[in-house]
Amino acid sequence: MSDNALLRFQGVDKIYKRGDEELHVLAGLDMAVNAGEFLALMGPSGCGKSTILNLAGGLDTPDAGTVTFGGEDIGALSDAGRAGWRSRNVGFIFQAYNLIPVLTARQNVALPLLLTPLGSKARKEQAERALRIVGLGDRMEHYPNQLSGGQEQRVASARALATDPRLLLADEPTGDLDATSAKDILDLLQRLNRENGKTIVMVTHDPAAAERAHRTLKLDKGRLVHSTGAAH
Amino acid sequence: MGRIPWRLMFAHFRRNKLRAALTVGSVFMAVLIFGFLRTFIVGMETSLAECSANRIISASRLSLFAHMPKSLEPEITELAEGKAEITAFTWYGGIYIDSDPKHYWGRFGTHPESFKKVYGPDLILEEDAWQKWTDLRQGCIIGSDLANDENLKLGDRVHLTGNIFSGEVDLEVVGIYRSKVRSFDQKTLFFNWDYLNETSKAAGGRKDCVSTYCMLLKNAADSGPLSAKIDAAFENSPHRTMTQTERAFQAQFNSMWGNLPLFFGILGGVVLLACLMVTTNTMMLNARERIQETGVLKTLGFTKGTLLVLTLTESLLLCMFGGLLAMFIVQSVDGEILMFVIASVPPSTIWLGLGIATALGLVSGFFPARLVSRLEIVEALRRRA
Ligand SMILES: Nc1ncnc2c1ncn2[C@@H]1O[C@H](COP(=O)(O)OP(=O)(O)OP(=O)(O)O)[C@@H](O)[C@H]1O
Ligand SMILES: [Mg+2]
Repeated sequence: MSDNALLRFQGVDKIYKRGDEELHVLAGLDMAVNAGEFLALMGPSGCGKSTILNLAGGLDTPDAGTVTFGGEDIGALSDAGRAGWRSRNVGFIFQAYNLIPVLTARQNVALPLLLTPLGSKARKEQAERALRIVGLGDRMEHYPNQLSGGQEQRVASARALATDPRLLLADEPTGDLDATSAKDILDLLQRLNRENGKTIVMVTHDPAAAERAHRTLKLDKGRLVHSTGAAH
Repeated sequence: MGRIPWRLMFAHFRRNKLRAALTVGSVFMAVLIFGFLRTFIVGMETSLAECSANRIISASRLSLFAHMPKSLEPEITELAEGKAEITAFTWYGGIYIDSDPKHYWGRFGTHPESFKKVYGPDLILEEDAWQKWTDLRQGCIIGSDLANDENLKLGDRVHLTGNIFSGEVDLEVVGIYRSKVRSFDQKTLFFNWDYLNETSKAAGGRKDCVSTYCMLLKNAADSGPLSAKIDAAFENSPHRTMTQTERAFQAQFNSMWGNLPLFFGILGGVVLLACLMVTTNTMMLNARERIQETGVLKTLGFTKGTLLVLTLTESLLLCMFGGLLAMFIVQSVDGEILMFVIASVPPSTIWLGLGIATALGLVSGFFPARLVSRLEIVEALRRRA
């Protein structure tokens, strides 16, 4: 593990309890993601990929071990502390886009900016800038149900970008998209990584998508089984 | 606490206008009913409370509507031994214009001079008018509300056709009174008893009838002993009396409708409860539909506190808006709501109505707020809309 790790998992356990049954999804997971790296996570369904992203983004906390971001233990923060940390440092892109249907594209993108000190005019401008980066400058006032799946995912990407976080977490971002739209999103992620220096962790089932990453981690039953590509 | 995404709340209102309108409407109606019922009850109780403790009323023990002979008056006067002023009222009934209930206000035959001694202190009427009424056999005085409702002015004529009594009376309005107390209504006409008696007698109808004898005591402490004395004196006569204070008399009159305050209280409570169920259900429905959205907001970094405020504000806003509308209507129909009760809306009803609307908002927002604040992000995101 190199010293410039932005995100580090050390001996992470995650256990889900279903009645009396305990499900060890992650057991002693160690992994590091370097600043500026584009990492792909692959593995069979149910192996714990989303669980890793949730832990990395502070949506959930480990049952054992630590998740650190820039040296800071995320699990040690309070709920509110983690929420604030998330709003400053992490952008999420989900397979299901997860846009808010009653808000326009611009309003969706501006939403996380409400948690920054920006005034309303600056928020609007920044949201518009993010939408132009993802190529939706002409769809700002559209509602999610007036957009195609690919466009929705681009709005979601713009929302993830809006606060200019260092880390982007994408959970099967192309899972629901056709080949062309998927390629657009992957191009976008690659560009954000190269040109804007975003650190990206992307879960995918698609080997072609994983090709875009610097490195691919393969996961099985909560353990890393294989790693391809060089650490960035 | 961070900034609150209010825009989101208004976007939901806009997207679901009908649901928002129905919620506002249900609170509006429940609080409106509360406002009217309470105004009615308070009006009834206030008019009771304002009844003078110095006045006692003798009526027939048989019923409020049975007549007593005029000949009791000198006997009662004697029993009073100068401790009270006495006047007599006779309910005339009769028909004014037609039998439409809106023309069926109170009209009594009485003696202007003794009437003035007993009820004058509660009324506002110029000395001129008292004098003119005393002097003019066919004169009458009417309350200001009656003057408004029937569009009557000084000098106008009021023609009544008897039904309890025979013949017809033709009256001239010589005075319009206003009342200083709520217990004395402003929708009644008073005319000369002698004129009433003579027209009916001439037409071969009833004569020498009195509905109630009313007394103003110099000393309220005499009310008990004098009432007992009067009732005892007529105990073994064909005209047994029931003498009680004006307040007790009014309460007896009110109780013709049964225990209205209790009934209305229960009615109002049930309506408010039904409304609470409707609003709670709607708010809960909103929260359930927005589970994924809540997960997204939390993912973006909005805190539990922010979402709690947003959820509570939404239900508060809808309920308080409904409450405000209702109270606006209630206070703008200030005045007479139901027959017999002259009720101006007390400010306490307005504040209570708004308070109830606020409470409805808080209580119906409680469960969704709890749901929203307890929701785990990972759980929320797992659910697909
Ligand atoms: N809240 C939970 N309660 C119980 N079990 C859970 C919970 N969340 C996840 N699991 C289980 O943990 C395992 C890992 O889930 P996870 O979502 O991380 O898988 P995944 O690798 O992302 O799968 P997929 O590729 O299908 O998205 C699964 O078996 C899942 O059923
Ligand atoms: Mg998954």
